[in-house]
Amino acid sequence: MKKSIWLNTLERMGSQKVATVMMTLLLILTYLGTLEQAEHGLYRVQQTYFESWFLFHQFDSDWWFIPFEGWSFSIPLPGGLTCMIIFTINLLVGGILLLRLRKRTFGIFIIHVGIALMMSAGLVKLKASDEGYLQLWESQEAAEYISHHEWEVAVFETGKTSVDEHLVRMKRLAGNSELVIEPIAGLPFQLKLSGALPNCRALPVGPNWTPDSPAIDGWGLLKRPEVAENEQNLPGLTIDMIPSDSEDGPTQQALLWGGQNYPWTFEVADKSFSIALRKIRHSMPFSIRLDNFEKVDHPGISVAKEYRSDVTQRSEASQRKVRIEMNDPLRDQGLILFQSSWGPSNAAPGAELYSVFSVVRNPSDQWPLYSCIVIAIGMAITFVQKFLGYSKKQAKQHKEISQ
Amino acid sequence: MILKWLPLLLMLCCGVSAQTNSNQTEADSLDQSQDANVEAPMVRAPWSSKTLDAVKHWPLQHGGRVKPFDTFAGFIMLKVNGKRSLTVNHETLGPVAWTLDCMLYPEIARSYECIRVTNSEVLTNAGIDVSQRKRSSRWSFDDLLPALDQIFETAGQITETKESSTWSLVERQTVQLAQNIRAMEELFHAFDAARWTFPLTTVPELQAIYGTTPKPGFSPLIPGFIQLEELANTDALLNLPDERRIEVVNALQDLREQLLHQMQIARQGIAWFAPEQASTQEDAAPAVWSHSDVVVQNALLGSPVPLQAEALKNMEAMVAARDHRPLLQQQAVLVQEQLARLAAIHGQYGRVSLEVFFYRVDFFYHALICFTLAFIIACLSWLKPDAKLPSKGTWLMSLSGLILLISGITVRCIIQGRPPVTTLYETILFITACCVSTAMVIESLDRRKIALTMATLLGSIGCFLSMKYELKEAVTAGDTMPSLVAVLDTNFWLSTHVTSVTLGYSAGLLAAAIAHVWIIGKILGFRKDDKDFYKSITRMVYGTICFGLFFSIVGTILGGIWANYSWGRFWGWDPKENGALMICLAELIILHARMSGLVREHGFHLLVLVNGIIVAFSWWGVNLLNVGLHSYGFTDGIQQLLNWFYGVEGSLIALSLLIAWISSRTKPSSHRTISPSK
Repeated sequence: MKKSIWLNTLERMGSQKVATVMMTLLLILTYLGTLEQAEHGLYRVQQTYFESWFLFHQFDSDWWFIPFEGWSFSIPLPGGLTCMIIFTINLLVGGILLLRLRKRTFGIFIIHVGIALMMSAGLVKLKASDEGYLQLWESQEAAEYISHHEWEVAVFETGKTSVDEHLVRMKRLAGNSELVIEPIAGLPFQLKLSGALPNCRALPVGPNWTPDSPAIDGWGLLKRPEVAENEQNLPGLTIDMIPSDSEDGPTQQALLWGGQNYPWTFEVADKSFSIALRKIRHSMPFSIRLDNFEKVDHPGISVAKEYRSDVTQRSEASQRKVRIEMNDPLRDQGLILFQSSWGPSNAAPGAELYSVFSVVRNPSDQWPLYSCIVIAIGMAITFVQKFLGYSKKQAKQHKEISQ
Repeated sequence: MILKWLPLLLMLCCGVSAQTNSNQTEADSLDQSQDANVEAPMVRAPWSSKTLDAVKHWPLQHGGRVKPFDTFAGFIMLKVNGKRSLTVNHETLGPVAWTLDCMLYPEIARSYECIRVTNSEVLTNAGIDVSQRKRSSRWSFDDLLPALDQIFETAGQITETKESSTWSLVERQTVQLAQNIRAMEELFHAFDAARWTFPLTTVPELQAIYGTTPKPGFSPLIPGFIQLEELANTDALLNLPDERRIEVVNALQDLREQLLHQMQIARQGIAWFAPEQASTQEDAAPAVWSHSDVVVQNALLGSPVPLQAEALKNMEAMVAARDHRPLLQQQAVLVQEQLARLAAIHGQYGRVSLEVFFYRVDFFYHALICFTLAFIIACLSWLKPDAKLPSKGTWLMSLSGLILLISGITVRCIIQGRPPVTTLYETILFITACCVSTAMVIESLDRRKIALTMATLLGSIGCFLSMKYELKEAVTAGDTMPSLVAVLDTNFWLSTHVTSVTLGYSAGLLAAAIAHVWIIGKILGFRKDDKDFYKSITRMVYGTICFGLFFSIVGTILGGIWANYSWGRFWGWDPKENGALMICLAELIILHARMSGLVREHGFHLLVLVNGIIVAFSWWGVNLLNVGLHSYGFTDGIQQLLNWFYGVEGSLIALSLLIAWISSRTKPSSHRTISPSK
């Protein structure tokens, strides 16, 4: 019977050849992305190579096959996201849907299910998780954590007892020269963001340099090259506050910079407002207070043997004491808090230290563990079958030779 | 440091405007220390084996852990001298003898040509004439003495102004030379205080406390500290006649400065003394061992440590008896017993003897000998394939090598109380053991001597590399059992993730090694009509790749789970993670490409070779990038060796492809007739 065009396409999508090609492309991407990290840092490489649809990789004279300094060429490559999506479809179709289940292929089927589970864990993590850090001195308490990389523009009315923040994520400005924020309910003005710089310094305008932003109140933004450690990049932008009612005054312009300690404050319609450019803050359903932090060094040297934090986790309903240490995080209500660091790094012996926690919200947190178990079972079944077959064949051969 | 009677004395000194003669600088004092030795004999009697054995077992704390003196001496000698032996005047010195010479006979050891300089340019830059020497040679401390200031100044500039990752080769060697000289200086000065006679007879008041002939060292001082405090008491001093008071104050101040100075030197020395009390707290930090200055300090503070003081006394007595071998031996044994007793309070002496035994047996060196002999016999056996004796000999020697290797790894695990793989050095040993044992299992099934020959070759290469890398560890870390950073201090993940991943590495490398036989055999036309021979190799390689894939995938995912527990993310595209992923992908590609018919036998083996290159990149190459969270694996200086490996493997692949292409042009159908082995 002739196969339908759909079945034919499906079979091709799920073929081992497509799997081989996709894995080869992933291998090449992983290799090139790994080498690029030395120059561009992990964050940028991750975005360019592994979380992208498409990219151009540049080969320059650092490669042995380019003989002259200054020579370079680029090749187009599908991004990691493209490869992984096609690979996952291929896996689902060829490795699960169309796989003929027999005794011989049972293990392979299980392996594919395990890999599909792991890929879905990655997808959920990519789309539905957020992460940041929480830095606490002893006796300090907080109920929100700060993103490592993402920035936001926060707008709030000052002088009020309860602060109602309006947030605009910097991501929305990506690829646009300017962004006009739609009127926000309760705010008597509209905002226009423009001239975003991924890394810059705010400096007083002087005769020796030209700012990369409008000069406002004698200050300007100086563009700086992006550094490999993305946490060290300090963005900046120009913001225009346009009153909704022209009687409330003229448009006001200001510079916002990630390194400034105070927000921009202005008055409109007899109210005072503040705007700050800061790293995104995520709230937690509970608060964490650091009761005690301890860093234990190996005797006689300054290598940390362990560091641990005794904290109090408090929510409206309950309160409990928890110890968070390396390899032993706190998991609760979809959040995971890890002991990740401490500081200040140049603290004198015996000086008070702060504790740093990595905080992750990841719905697929434990899925990799389940997938590992599934894959291990599938591989064990497959390879034990193959090994037994091989041993039988060898024994038969030896028997024939000896006869 | 707070010395109970010193602030009082200082105040008093200011009050009575005493004339001081204490402008002695540290350098002057060091010169005095050296001058004091000028009259010493320039030859010494050989060390008795009993003395060396006792000293070997002295426990000490160094690099964050308790270890025997034998290990400490071995790595210092390896770092400075480049090997664990030195021949001086027809006498071969081992690490302990050499270190004892440095500590007890510095005036003699200064002339030992034991400081290895691998690049004479380092010395030329420091103004030393190297025309009479080879580019790489050993120099004595005295030879380098005129250039010491220059060497230290240059090394200081390099470390202060540049990141270590940007140092040139000469700069790195300069810093290493400065470190080696510093290590020797620390040994020379380790027993300075024991040789130093403090001014205890300058005034009758001090003579009344210490007698007229006090011995050198800290120990004679300690029993008189209470009386010394009484003498230094303000009221007591004010009760003295004016003339006497000035003399006594001057004498006390002189004593104070010399004591402080010697304590300062002792603080740079070795931490010999375990605390006399063990902590009973559950979360207590590990016990910090003391240098000899802390023993003196505790006595001054009125909290004496009798066991430590007794051990210090015997140690100093041993230094005093350095030219009387029987007495010295007796003191060495006594010190060993006392230090062991202190260590035992914390349960830290149990593994010291085992560690001495470990280095005495030298498991990996003997395993290397076994594997090398096995390889030679295996090669000879190929000349006469039917002879059984060479085959048995190969098995015997390989098994002996494997037993030695596994025993060595096991002893290391017991000493450290950790799973077998925690450092790059240990990965070499573990991977070698896994490769050899897997190859021997394959041989027991296949019996064509291919896997066994590979086992002997890989065993020899692995043991050789481990010895070479041990030297590197000595230079950079000073030990092959270093203290682990906090995140690694978990036996569960070390024994699951790390072991699985390294098993995956082993299988990938073993598969590549066996695939070489197929590729080279085809190139050379070896047994070209024996299809079974080549099919059998393909089956072996296929099985090994499956075995490796299992451990690579499980190990990599376990690593992700560990990262999720430690850092809060399953996958972070860190170079080491990427390396592991590349191995998984490469092995999956091999299996899928073969099953889908994209490659046949020849292509299959070439891909296995590529997989071997990827394993090498993942194992060593990513560490050279100096980025990522897996910083415990960073190393340098491996690049050249790795480039050679990539080059040779790449050339072999290219050559094989070229020959296959030429062959397909001359005999178009020859390759197509080879069907993939099932």
